[in-house]
Amino acid sequence: MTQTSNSITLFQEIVDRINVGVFVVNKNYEIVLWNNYMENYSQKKSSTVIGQNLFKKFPDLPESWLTQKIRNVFILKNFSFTSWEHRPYLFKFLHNRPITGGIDYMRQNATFLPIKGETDDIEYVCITLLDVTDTSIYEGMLKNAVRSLAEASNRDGLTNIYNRRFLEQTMTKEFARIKRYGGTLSFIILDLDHFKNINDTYGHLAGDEILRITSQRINECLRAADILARYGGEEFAVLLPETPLEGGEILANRLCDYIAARPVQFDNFEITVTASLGVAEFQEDLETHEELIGQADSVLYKSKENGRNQVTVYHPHSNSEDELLDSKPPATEITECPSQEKEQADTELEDINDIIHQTITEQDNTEASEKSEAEDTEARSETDTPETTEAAEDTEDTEDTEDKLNLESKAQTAESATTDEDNYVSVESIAQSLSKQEEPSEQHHIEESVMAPITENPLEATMNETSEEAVQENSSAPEAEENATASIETAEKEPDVNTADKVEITIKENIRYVTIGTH
Amino acid sequence: MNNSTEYQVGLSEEQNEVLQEIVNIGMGMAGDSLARILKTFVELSIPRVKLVSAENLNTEIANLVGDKALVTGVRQAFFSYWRGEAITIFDQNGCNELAALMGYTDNLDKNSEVELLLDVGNVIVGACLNGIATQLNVELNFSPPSVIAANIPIERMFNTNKLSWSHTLLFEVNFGLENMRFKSHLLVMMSEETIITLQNDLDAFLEGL
Repeated sequence: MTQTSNSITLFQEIVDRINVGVFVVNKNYEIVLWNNYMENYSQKKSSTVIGQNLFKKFPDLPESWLTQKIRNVFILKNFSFTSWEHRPYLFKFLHNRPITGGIDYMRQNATFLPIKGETDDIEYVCITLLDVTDTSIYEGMLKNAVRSLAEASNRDGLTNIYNRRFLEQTMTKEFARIKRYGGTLSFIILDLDHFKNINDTYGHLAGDEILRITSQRINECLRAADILARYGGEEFAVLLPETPLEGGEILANRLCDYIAARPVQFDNFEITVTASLGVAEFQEDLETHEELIGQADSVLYKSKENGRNQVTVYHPHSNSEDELLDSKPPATEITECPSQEKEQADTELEDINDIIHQTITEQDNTEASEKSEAEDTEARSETDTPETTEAAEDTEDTEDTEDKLNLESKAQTAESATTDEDNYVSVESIAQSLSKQEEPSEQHHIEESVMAPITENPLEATMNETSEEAVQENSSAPEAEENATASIETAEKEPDVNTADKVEITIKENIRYVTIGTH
Repeated sequence: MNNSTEYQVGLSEEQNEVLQEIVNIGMGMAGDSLARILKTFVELSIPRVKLVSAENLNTEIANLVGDKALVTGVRQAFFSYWRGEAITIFDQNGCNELAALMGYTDNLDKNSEVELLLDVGNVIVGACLNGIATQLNVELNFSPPSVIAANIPIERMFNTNKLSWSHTLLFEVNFGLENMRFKSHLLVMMSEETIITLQNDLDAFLEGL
């Protein structure tokens, strides 16, 4: 390159005045050029830095990395770069958005240029710094916008839970995953009963409020990994990853009771809301997620046909009559109990349900758990007499194998009372037969013995479960194991060993569902 | 670019031979530079030079790179006398080993991992292309590197429907470091106009011998 002396002066002037940081170091990392821009932003005059070691003058620089970077330019005689996206800045320079920027230092893109000396060898590295603060701020805004758009496109506008599009997307992925890696997956579909009547009676605003409140209520019963979506007008869907059918059924019953027990306040009305539910589980032979939805939908219609406000479970290899046997008995059956017993049955049922779901929510959502715990205490204080409270305290003190035996023998009675041939017993049926056949005072023993490891120190219990799970994958939580041992012991006293085995499986699986939430 | 298909692309046998030789020497120099930077022995494949049509690009590259699970590509443009783009393909192995060699002392987070790949890509691209360019007395400029695709199957690296050219001259070479898991492929693609320029450069080089 040939330059007149005049143009060389021009070049010098431009390099000095240009709105880009320019500086040069030699092989010893000593500064040999420092332009006006660098002077301004570093607040160090070139006369004070020229001849000085770069890292001594600027100890904030990442020395090890930058030394290597510059050395590579000398060796390779090649350009090198850094970008603000991965390394926001080299120098801690102030930027020109002190008011509106919201970031600490000037964002910088740097280019490293190999510069030949008189010997034709690379003797210097020139580093240019470009202020990309604005670019980084705009990019940040853009990313936020894209993120919130992506989030919004997955949500239902009214209830702010996931929409059907997102649900089906997730189901497609879950199906691909489960087909490849195995596991369990359950699906619940929930349809509000007589929703059109509510709209017609109280107006559409009331209907909207009910949809909002119901989605909140469902959410309160779920674990973090469960996906709740608005499936249609008054239809909700819950996808339960790593959950067997039994767990899905327990949750569905819980949802059914939870919603029915909590009327929605709107203006001066108290509107009772009930829902019909269908539950299905992934099976190997299902090709697409639509088939699973179809199965849950088909039993949802059974729930509707049988009088609404109930759960029906889809069993793939049994005939339709078995399915009906399994559905939760409609409210009319409960009224057959004498009124006092009925009340106990209800409390019992709600409590056991609460115990299970309380643990779930405890692990995932402290707020919700506090709430349901409070509700639990309320429910108990209504029924507890001073006598039974004392008994409960004793139970806690003596670490209660005896009470577990009690529980098991009751569970057995429950099992022998139910006649269906499925290899699990629902908690409801245990609870119902308990309330019919046992003395009220003993029921509280059961409550507390199941409750004790969970409520005494919820945090510790959760932690124990977590570590336990880490050690023995897929095995049940400590309480469940104790229960299982207890059940075998009981079985030896009782003639029907098969029944005891069945109970063991059930309890294990139910508790396992509880502990899954620790992931 | 209607006339792009009218280029009579294709090197004569003589041009092909000398280009292969120049690329061999250039890559050798690159390997030497890398070894000096990383202070470890660099294993280098014999470079392959091939004229590739746009529609076959993905299959050709998949054949060259081989069946890797998922790869990340770092793209860098070179311009001035020759124009084209170089892509360094990484599989996700050996990043941590490389980090120490490149002067990254802190624990590798997502950002510094990307920065490391960009850095290594830049070193490989610069070393190889400068190795070729200096033999033909050509000076090149480079754009900053950027990630074009992260963790995808190699066949999906290019959207061949959106390519605006019909042929490219493709160089491929792969690198490994002795006793380390790190492996990477360098793909250099020259634009159609550059193929013509390169042919002239090769002719001039042959005359000068």
